[in-house]
Amino acid sequence: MIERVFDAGNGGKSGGAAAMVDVRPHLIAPDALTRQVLPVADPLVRLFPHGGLERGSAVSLSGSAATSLMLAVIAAASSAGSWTAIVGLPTLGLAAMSPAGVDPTRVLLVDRVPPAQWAKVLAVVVAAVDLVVIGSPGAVGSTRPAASLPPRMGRRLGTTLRERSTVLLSVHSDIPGLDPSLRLEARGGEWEGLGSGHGHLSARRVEVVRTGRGSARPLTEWFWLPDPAGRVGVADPPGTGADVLRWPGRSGTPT
Amino acid sequence: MARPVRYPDMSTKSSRVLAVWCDQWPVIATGAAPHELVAVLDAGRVVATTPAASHAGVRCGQRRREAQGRCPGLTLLALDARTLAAGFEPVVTAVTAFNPRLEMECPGDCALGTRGPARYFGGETSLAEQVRNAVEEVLAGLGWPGWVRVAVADGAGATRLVARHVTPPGAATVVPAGDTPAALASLPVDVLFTDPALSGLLVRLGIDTVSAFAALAAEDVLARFGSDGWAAHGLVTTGGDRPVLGETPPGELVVVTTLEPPAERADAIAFATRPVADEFHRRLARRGATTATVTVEMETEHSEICSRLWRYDGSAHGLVERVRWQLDGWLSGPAASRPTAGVSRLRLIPGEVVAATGRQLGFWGGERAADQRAQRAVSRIDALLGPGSVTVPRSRGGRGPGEWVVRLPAVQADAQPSVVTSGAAPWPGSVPHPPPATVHDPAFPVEVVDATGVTVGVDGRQHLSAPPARVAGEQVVAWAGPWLADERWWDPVAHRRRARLQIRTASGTALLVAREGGRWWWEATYD
Repeated sequence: MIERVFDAGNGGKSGGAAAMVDVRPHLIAPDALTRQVLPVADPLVRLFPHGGLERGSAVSLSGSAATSLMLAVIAAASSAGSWTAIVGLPTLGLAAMSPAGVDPTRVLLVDRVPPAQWAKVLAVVVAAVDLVVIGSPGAVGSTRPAASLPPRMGRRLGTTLRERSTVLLSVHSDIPGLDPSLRLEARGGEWEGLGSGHGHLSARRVEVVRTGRGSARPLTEWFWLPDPAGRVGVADPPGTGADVLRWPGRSGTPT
Repeated sequence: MARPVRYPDMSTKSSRVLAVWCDQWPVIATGAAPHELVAVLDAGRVVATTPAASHAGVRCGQRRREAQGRCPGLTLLALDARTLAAGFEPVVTAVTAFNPRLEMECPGDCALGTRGPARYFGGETSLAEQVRNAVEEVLAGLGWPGWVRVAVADGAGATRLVARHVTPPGAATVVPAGDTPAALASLPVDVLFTDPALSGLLVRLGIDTVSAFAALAAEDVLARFGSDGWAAHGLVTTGGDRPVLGETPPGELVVVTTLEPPAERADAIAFATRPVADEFHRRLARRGATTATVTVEMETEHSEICSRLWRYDGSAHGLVERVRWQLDGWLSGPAASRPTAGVSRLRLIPGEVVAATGRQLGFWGGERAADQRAQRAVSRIDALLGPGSVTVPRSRGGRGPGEWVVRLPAVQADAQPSVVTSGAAPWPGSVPHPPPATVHDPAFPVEVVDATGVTVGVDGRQHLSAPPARVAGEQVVAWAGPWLADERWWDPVAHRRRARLQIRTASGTALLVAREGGRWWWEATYD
């Protein structure tokens, strides 16, 4: 059975997106960023039906490894030149950005946004950058959903995303009225490297469950997030004889 | 409340500069005549118009449709970088006769230091008149008589402002030493800024002339308006900048490259120059420096050399653009000085190397439209939520994951941001990689107890009183540490001793706890 990894033709959304004109005419624009899909690191490509982050779409991330997964997902686009704005995520560990591959010179952080200003601030960042990551408005570190936004604002946000070809990633939060085209749940983090009083956290295997609309069929995959070398990689599920830590340089099959 | 404005004595701080300005140069370069209805478009907006078109209502910055609506008979031409630079060569040749070391910012503009030439040509006024006559001859030949503006004042930036906005067309103005702020005083404040948002804000605050802006305190301007405002403020109070010709820079900042195959056209050299320009700025950034001028030296296979000093905004894109202009100009100059082979060697020599202190205009280098959009978003969100609401990550040193990288207000970030060096040597006592994705600041107090229910303690020799068994009520499956960080022991106020543990609980959570001041704190989660 041949499995289709790249499903094209997502109906109305890509039809609307294809009508947009490149608005950066006279300055040098790297080729990777003018297509309708933002690049994503190779091991993660299988999670995205379009082969990357589809411009104008919303992705929802949840689970116990959501923040690391978010960094891994935006890393390729960020290092290719896209600007990222991270709004309402004051607990983000900034030291984890560089090792994940995110370019810290092209990141804007807006940590604390009063709920009343949330819609306005979102409107500004969606118009300005390619990637918007949101936590939750108001309370610091809270994981409650963005219940303070009325659904019509969520719908308007969805339209604005498509108009500006911006990708929205929400971490542990759901905007009412905005239905994400892709949901990634990162669960079951199995950290390796800690013993009883020795070693240190070095690598983790995470199970990522993808659900979504349209061509995003349910899919479950295991990833190293990070692997012993600090990179994202495809992993075998634990318990298949691959519990031995694989050091960089070896092939993917367990010995 | 009127404060008496005291102008500092600029004559000792800045040197005298002569600036030549050919207004609306892009439209002159196309060969249009002043009475024709012609405008030049770039990126969908008008960048230059003839006087007749501007009389009919066409202005720079308008979009194509609006311009056509104001003036139905208007001819719109696209900006052609090649003729833009090539056409200005005769003017440059004419001015070079007065001082071979001149600097250019863009086609239409050039400036030179007046110290030597003024003595040689009999005084500044005489020099200005002679330069004006020489350029006038060239422009009259192009069909634009009485169009050039020449000004002499203190400081390169301020003199350019005088030439563009104070001097009438066809005239030469000499501003006496020290009188430059007074000459600029009555100009509207939007001549200082390319971003209309900032000048609009100033006008709404009631600061609508340059003299009112100059009366503000410099620190207030930096705090409220950022690096753009501060640079402009410096321009109008002290003449802003350093002398037109700088001292020789350290050798390692000079970048030399060989072009294989030799570049014979401007777009070939632009393509080859891009990585060279990036390397040039990287070397400057490593020293924490930046430069506002660069000498571009091109050498052909037949050892013909063309060297020119350019003033630019500090971005790689601006540098590549000027290299193109220089080659275009060289290829279309007088036949005697034209190159007979392709350019095989390119040298970039920085001019005035100064420490990057965030004073640079165009703060991320203004390199791409995306950078400019991001910068505008910073200003708008700062206006919505208050200054300092938008921050950027910058690396610092530290042992804990919350200290390696900190947040800095975006407006005060350096022009050349420091690179987060994750590969640098770790500080002793720092927690090993990988860093946690979630850092709690402030940290939560948490209970770390051993198997008997007693709180775990740490002694000075990095020994735990007992292995941790439960953290925040959950069972500990694995742990490691402690990593001791004893910081600033010499400072009684800032002294901090912390011992950190990595812990994995039964529910799969991995977290970082620290003991400080007799209590345990949950510092970070490996999310």
